[in-house]
Amino acid sequence: MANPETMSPLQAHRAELAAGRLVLQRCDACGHMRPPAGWVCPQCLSERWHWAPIRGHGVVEGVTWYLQPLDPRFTDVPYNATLVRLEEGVRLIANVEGVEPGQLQVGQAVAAHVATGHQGHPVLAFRPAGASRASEQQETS
Amino acid sequence: MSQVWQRHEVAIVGVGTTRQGDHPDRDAQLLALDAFQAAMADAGITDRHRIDGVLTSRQLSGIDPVQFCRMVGMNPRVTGDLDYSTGGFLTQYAAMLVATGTCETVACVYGRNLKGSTGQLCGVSEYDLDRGLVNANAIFAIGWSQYKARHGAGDELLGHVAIAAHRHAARNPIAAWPEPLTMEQYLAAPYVVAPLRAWDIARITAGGVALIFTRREIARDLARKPVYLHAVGRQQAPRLYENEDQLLCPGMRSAAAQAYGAAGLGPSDIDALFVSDASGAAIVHTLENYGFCGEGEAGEFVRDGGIELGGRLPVNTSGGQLGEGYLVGWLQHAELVRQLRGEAGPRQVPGARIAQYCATGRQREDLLTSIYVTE
Repeated sequence: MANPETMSPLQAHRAELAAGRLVLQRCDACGHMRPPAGWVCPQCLSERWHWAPIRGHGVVEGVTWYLQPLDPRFTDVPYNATLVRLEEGVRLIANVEGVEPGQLQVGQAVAAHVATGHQGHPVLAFRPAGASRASEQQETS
Repeated sequence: MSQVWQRHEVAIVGVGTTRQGDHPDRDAQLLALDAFQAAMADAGITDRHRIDGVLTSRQLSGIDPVQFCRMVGMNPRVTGDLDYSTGGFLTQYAAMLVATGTCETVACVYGRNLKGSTGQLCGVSEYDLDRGLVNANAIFAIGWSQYKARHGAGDELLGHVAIAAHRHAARNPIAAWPEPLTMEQYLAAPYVVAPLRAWDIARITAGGVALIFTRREIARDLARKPVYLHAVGRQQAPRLYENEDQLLCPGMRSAAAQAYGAAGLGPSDIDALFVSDASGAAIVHTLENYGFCGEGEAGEFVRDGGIELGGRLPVNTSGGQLGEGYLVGWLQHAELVRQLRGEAGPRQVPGARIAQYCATGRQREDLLTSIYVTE
């Protein structure tokens, strides 16, 4: 649990990710999993929760590519914002890395890792599932 | 379930619009003033102190209601704004103030002038910023990628929507983008937020618009034919991605059922449709979820001029936000009133008597419809 005096759930989630743990917030009372992190379970209103590990397997449900900068704070195009449905049943918006514009398809399998987000904080990001396995093999070989 | 609106106790009696486009010498508040004065003249109201409610939109580079009243020297009963006050949301609030007797006559006034604005999303969170999710059209674009994959839709679909907007704008002297658009030009344009092109995205304009609402008894004595609010439908969806298919706007079906059910009407009764089209994709989602066509059938519906003047359902006859100007749904209300009065000139839908406005807002969280009629 995050200490409300020192850290918001979002900040606490960033700290978990920074430590290399692929986790999402899960309600103690009803088991509902919720990204983004928040104080209260939207399903049962319990304020008790824990960090639950996720397998990190997901499927792309929708994707957009920023090909021209639309905001002065985010000019590092191209990048995507992707709607991913995790095997655990939750949906989240994330960046999928290691893939070129036009090469990411609805229905494609993706795998999670920790990356540095657009504001410099750790975020849950993804890679195409095959590419992720390939890079893991490279790392272990 | 019936609503108070079917008693026709509230009408729009005045509309005012400025030219849309660049206004280097007039700020948002002055553009709002121009539109306010035009709307009063249109209604035949000479004494502005007869207006006892003044509503504006502060957000989306709009204006402050209190500052505006100071400028024009008014002490109305009510000044106000909403947390999400694009055209349809604020106009329903205005109608509620009149219907409840809180006010007699309410002016909704909007002016916008911010060159180079990026159309930043309302309600954008830290979570979104960490992912660079910053433009309203990215939300539409993710939804559009879902739609394309599910229905096998090609790029021509939104091309037809954009072409209709530009054809309508060409008949509208205040439109910012009246230039013609061909399918070849459309398809040759690169994606900006793929799968959306610049032609699919409302570009920020400067301009003003004002609408005046009043009670039936007062409306009947004013200059113009009253246009009555006849039914409304509302659905919020703030649970975002916890909602199935959130970005395809399924909540519109709830709004449709409320409004059509109360009015005893259906999509086939609508003479002209007005959509707050931050993206052309909003028009597609509206056509399908409100039942103007079946799911996945919008491609067929918009082909061959289906949503153009003379087509089966004219949509955004003044050009909408892709052709006329991006005043977040307010200009569509002015056009809707002109259509129902029979004052739309070269854009007139013959015999238009029932018109519907539909909006989506923020991250497809705010869904709304209003049906207007004349007697």
